[in-house]
Amino acid sequence: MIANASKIQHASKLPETYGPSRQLVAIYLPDLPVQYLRLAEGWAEDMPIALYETVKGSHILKYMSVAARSAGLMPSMRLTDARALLPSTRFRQFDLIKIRGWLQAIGRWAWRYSPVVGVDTDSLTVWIDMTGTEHFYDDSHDMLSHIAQAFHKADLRAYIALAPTYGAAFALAHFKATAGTPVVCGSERRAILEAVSDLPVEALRIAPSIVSGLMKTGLRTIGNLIGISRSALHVRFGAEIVLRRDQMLAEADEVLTPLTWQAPIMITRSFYEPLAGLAPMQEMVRQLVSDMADLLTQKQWLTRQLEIGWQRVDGTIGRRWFRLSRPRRDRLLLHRLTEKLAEEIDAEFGIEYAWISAQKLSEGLPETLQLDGREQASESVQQLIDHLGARLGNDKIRCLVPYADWQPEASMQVIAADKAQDTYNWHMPEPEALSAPRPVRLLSPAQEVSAVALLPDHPPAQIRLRKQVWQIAYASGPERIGPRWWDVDAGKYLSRDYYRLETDTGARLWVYREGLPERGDPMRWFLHGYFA
Amino acid sequence: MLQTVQKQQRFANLKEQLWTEAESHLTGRLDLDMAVLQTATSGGLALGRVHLVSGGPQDGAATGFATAILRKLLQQNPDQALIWCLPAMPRTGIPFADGLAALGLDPARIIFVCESHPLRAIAASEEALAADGVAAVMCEYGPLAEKSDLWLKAARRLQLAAESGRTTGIMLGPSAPAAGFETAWHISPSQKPSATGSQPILTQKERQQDWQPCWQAELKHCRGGRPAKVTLYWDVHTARFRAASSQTITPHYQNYVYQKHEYQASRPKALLSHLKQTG
Repeated sequence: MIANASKIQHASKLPETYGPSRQLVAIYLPDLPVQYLRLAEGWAEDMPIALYETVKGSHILKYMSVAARSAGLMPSMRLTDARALLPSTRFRQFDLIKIRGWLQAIGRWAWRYSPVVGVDTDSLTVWIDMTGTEHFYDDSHDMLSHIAQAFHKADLRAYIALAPTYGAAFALAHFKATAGTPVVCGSERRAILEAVSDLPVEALRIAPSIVSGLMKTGLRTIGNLIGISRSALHVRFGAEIVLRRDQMLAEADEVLTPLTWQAPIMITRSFYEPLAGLAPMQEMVRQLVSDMADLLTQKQWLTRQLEIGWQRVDGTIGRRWFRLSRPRRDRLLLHRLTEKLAEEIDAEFGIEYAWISAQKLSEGLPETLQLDGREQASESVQQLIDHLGARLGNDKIRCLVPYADWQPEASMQVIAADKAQDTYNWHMPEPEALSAPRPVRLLSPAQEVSAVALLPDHPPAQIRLRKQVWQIAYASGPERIGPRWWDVDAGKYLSRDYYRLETDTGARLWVYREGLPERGDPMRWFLHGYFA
Repeated sequence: MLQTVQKQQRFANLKEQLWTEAESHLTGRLDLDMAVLQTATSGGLALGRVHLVSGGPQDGAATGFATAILRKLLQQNPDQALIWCLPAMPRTGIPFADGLAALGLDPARIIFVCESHPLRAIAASEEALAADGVAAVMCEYGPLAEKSDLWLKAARRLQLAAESGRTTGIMLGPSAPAAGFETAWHISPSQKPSATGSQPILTQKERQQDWQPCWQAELKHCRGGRPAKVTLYWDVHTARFRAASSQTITPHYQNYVYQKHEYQASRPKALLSHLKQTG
């Protein structure tokens, strides 16, 4: 232990500059989740918006708009408290995958500055490794103001900092930079020390528990930590803080994972004579597809989208996309998907140029077939989905996804099968399950019926839907399903009392009465489904 | 050279053996659990064929029966998918996931093909029947059955596709001509035997808990079998059909008892006898 500590001590006596100097830009985008949500929903600029996440069963605020923050909403506030404080706020569930997608989109945009770009979703930061690209700009200030300008145009607050390490750039972007004025830090160790010494210890990217421990001992700024030996810090606060401090001061390496991108691949063919007629079209498509299948096999790539395009002699262009439910490169499948295309191409005076491009690529090693020469069963179902999707349209192949909502019509969502991420878990009945019976067919929307009931809050004795009259033999209920109280226009919906009815012929109906008789609501009856 | 040819032939034979071994259960028959139905269908519902299940437009009995058959088929091939072709906005209502789950069929296993054009829907089901890896295909045909020439052609084509893909198909819809199908069923909702008076009347509480499906299944046509008519229960927990005359009752939702308004409309007699029984 002592020998180890002395080795680390020795490392701090390295020369002032450590290896070739790197240039890392950190861009902190605190408004990104709220701003994108606002744009997507079309809400007004000054609308208070807050995003919450579920921590141990309770809803805790995570991000909020400037308007919400100025009204007193804070991160890590409970959702119920926030609702009481500012009821006009729009609250939404925090969606990590969506926010990561937005950050990655910004990262892809940042490829124009450097090929090495990455995102840090937890802290809403995009980083750009600018090492070796400064000469494209007059100086680093010019480059940073260029970036800042772009975010200003997009109406997104961006805190930008440039430093030789990611730790320092992160700290400066989060705790020193102001919106629109980037911070630049020199490449010497002294310059980094000067820039970060007055920043709070949170800037070290350490766990909150360590931060509160540091606070208790009076170590509030990074400057306070500089003089302390590694061994002492390690013993008191663990290895993480030592590592983070070293990474910030370029005394330890930090491995950053950049975004990777697979450019679409394309094969083009131009023809001596313009092609026209069905047979040449078929041959053209067939050749393009086999070339693409060869290329994909050779490069060991899989594709999720094919584009076939053609240019006619008058310069007009036609194109057609084929989407696949999962990454594939099967020659037979691709031929089968595109076999009808030749009939659809309108060549007019002839086609002089055609291309095929495979998009949304991913890597895939060759697959092993089963011993009897066939593929796995799920593979062939995917092929079927692709084929039906190509024939009927991808949006027509759907599957059911559960959704947590008491309203029966909202308790399931029908989504396109190629968008479904995973298999979903439904609550299957168990012998002792406590669940209400549900019909096998749901009328959507519910059909209004006229009902005859003994008393207003009794189940009906007879109901009529257009010309069909049902005499009710048995009834059971009601099961009350109220409107969602958190809906903005909850007043528009009335609470429903569901009854299970059995007619004198044995048909079982699911009927509800809208409105509460004791409250004096107007009462209407609706048929909502048929039991099996 | 000769050796290579022999080797290839040998491999082809071995592959063929594996195939037949793997798919021998598919050419068999589906056990329908009840002696009446087993004898009427001469041993069960034929697999790898297309069956017609018809019912009234304003009840869920036919859908329930078809769902029960689908569940039985899925049990035989647990790792395969179900395809359900239906119009985008069916007038008889959309399949409701919680209701399917209540009958024991996992809704996540179904892939829906929502196609409103009846001929395209039939073509899609034909495609699905001929494909590998599909446990069963259900198709809602709607008003297509009214055109007799189209209907006959569709029946023949679907039957051929089912035989080539060794997949079982179920056609679901209003009453339709049975020619060309392996079997034709008409399913109507049935009152529980308790309501007809032939069985001891259940207590009111039992009556309300006993919400398990009860159908009258009429086997109108069966190739190599004979017509039959039977009233049956679908037991969700064991995934078996059960004769409705059986007296044991396994309440469907044991703990689900409404607190308020336990109500029985216009049945004073049953109520009286219930009071007498309970004192």
